[in-house]
Amino acid sequence: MTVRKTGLIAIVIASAAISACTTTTNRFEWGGYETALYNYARNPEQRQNYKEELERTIERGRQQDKIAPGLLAELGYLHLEEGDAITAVDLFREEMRLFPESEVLMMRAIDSAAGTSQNEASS
Amino acid sequence: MARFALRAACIAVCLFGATACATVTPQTKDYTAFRSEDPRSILVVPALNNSINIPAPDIFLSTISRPFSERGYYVFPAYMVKRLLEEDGLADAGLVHNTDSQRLQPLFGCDTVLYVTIQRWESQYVVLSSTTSVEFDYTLKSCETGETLWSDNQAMVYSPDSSGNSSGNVLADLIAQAIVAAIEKGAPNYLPLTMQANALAAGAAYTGLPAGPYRPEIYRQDGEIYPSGTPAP
Repeated sequence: MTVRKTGLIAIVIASAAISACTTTTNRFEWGGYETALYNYARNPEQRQNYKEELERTIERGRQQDKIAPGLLAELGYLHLEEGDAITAVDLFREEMRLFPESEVLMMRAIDSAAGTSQNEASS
Repeated sequence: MARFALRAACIAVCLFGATACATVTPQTKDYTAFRSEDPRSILVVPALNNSINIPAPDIFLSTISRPFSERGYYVFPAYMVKRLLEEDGLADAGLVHNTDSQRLQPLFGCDTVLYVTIQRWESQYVVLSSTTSVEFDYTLKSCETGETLWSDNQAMVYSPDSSGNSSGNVLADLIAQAIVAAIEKGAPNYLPLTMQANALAAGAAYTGLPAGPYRPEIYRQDGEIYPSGTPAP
């Protein structure tokens, strides 16, 4: 057994023990979101990879009707940061539709995005 | 070959784990306040870092949403929230943690705020072995009343010693251990440890969160596992 696999098994055993005590659920589709965000948080050059992973995960979630909370908003926010207000607003609206709890934040983001596109239109 | 070993290990431990869980401790928390509030959403704010490791909060950010969402709550987009707080002049986690949760409600429309404090986040390397350990405090406060609805503490340790895997050659074993320790030190397994801590915090029986509205199959039906009322002495 190689050195790496020893460590891997230790992690797996720990995970299995813990998941036996807590239900490992799949209420939503998360894809590689966590790892992609982790990599982006450590290294801003990973932004494109993070964005693509969000897109992939959201698409998989759409197919199963299991889009995870916040993912659409996170993708929308990336678009907003890049100046693409139209796509951002579409995503914020979809988040709000799926998760009514997000309404206050999404309306605030949509207003902010509308402000952005107005500024760009008049400049 | 490795796959089979992993699978066997998983099954063996799941059986062991399941038995171990059957004898879990009786109630230690009173969920009365939580139940009467009945929140639907959780706003996670950037973690307060009491550890010596500077990038800890950013790394933590990527692992907090999933376990609490899976319990059935709407968790606000963690990274977007962090950026918005920065724009609102609340970039410093200490400042956010000292702000009343009620003040965050008009900004985000949240029912509750989850504050996490990183107490420990470190990897210690001692020649042939290395230990990575994390410890987090979780506090859930109401945006309505500012009251603490739930709190938890998770401490996890990972030590990748190659116990039970002797090659029969003492020198080879020592070298293997040193390599594992060096790998661990160079790229510590913070991510899986943090995921485990968060999963336990959110979902462990008797100490985690009750199921939320996005888990309709069990929502409000787990009163025995997450009971209201003071625990019996």
